[in-house]
Amino acid sequence: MRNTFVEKLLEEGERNKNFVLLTGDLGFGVFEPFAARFPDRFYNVGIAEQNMASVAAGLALAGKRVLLYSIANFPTLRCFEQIRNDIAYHKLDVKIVAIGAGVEYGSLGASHHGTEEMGAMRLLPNMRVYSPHDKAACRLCMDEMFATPGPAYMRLNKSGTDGVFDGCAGLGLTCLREGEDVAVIGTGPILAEALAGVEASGKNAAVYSLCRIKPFDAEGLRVLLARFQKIVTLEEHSVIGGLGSALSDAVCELGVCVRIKKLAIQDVFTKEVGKQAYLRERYGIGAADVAAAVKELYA
Amino acid sequence: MADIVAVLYNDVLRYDVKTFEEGRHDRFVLSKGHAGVAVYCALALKGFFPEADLEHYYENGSLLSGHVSSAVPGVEFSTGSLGHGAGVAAGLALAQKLDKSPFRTYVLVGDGECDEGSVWEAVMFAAAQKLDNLTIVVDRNGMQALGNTAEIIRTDDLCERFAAFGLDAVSVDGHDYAALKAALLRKPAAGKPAAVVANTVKGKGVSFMENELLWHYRDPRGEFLERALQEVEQQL
Repeated sequence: MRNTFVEKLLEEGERNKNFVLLTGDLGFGVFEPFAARFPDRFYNVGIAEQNMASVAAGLALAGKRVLLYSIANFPTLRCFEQIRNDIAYHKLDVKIVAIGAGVEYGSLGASHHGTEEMGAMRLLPNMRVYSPHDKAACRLCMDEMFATPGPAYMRLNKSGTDGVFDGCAGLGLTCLREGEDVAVIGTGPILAEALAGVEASGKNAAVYSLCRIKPFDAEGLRVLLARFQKIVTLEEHSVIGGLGSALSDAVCELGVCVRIKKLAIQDVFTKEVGKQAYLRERYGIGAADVAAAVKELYA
Repeated sequence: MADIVAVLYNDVLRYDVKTFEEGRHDRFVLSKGHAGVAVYCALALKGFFPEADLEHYYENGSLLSGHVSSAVPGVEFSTGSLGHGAGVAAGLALAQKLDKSPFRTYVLVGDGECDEGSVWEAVMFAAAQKLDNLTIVVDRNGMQALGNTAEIIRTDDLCERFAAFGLDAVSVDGHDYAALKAALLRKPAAGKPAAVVANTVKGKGVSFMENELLWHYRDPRGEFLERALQEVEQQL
């Protein structure tokens, strides 16, 4: 998925001579092609994310389109107020991309786990929020980000669920597996666990993806709820502020009665380290947890 | 600080009220956003909006917020939380370099504001990118919200610090118009951003306000306002 991101950067760089890329001293082996082709539009601003966000705002104020990049919490939480006041408040054309969403950098420890940043970005007025799960989804997200001037945030993993869903992708609620009665709605690469969990449950639950968390696909949800009154949400993020929260907010607005089970990290910091798969299982968001939740809703 | 703003808008910044929205002018970011009223007054006097609007500063429904707001015509950027403006100005200056623009970028920060680490991130970035079209102006009044900088975080060596960080830094009397004008128009050494540390007296020109922390918080009204206006007018 990260390679797709790099391809789209090159495409945008070619198309838009005002496109400038900033990194906070991360992206070894990622930006060399862009830097080689557009040397005056690539800047390593150093290990200084607050300044990176403010510089991005200044560039955008002068008519540039800026994309800034770093790991999980660094281009989001570390410079949250610069994003709020300098970028979002001024509605500037700055795209923020974080690699290592969720617990992808599991063994590096909690400092490198992106488990609250999606909620933090969703909280900001004018900010769009994207969470693709594979190459095709990443392409769609970036196409929309670049077609829509203004602030946006996208969270990525190095690899996604490529090959799992045959490149079936949509930005709003998109069916990846047909089913009845229960729908599992997931966002990001953890959708692979949704599919595996449904298969393991032996039940005929549907699986839906949601790549654009904000603005939320309220119309898609209204249509989906006409068929499914039992929903499982799955995300590699805190239970507060992410997909489950956004969906619950939308359900409240629709005024319908739905059973929702939220599979997410339950308002805790990870204590142990480990690989992404291990931590997903340890914190209740693995395939086995999906299977158990689906069975519970069918019971 | 009003003197710095006056010199900037009278003698330094190149701009045209009619074409301001197009962005082809010297950029000015007020980073110490709490001093927005000084900029609002300058902008009204220069014709960006009617002077009568100033009467509604701080009022319900007014755009004239206490901290400077870009909703007000002529204001480049909204600030208020300290330590943001220098980075934004560095971004503006970098864009001017990319566009081969003939214009410069100025940013006005407070000396207390220099407690914020983000100011120094911006200074280091500006030096690294050789932004010699950027001028960082410091209103060094030696005071911050709870007292004197000398007793909180010292700022008496700011000029030396900017120089050590790679800027072409000068220090100037922040109430001497001619000296300020010369310092602000001075071209820094090639490849070096400029820093102008303007030494000022908070509340300058009003005897009972000078260096009095209380007047950082208080609006002059009634008798205080009359006395203050009288004192200032006597010096004109």
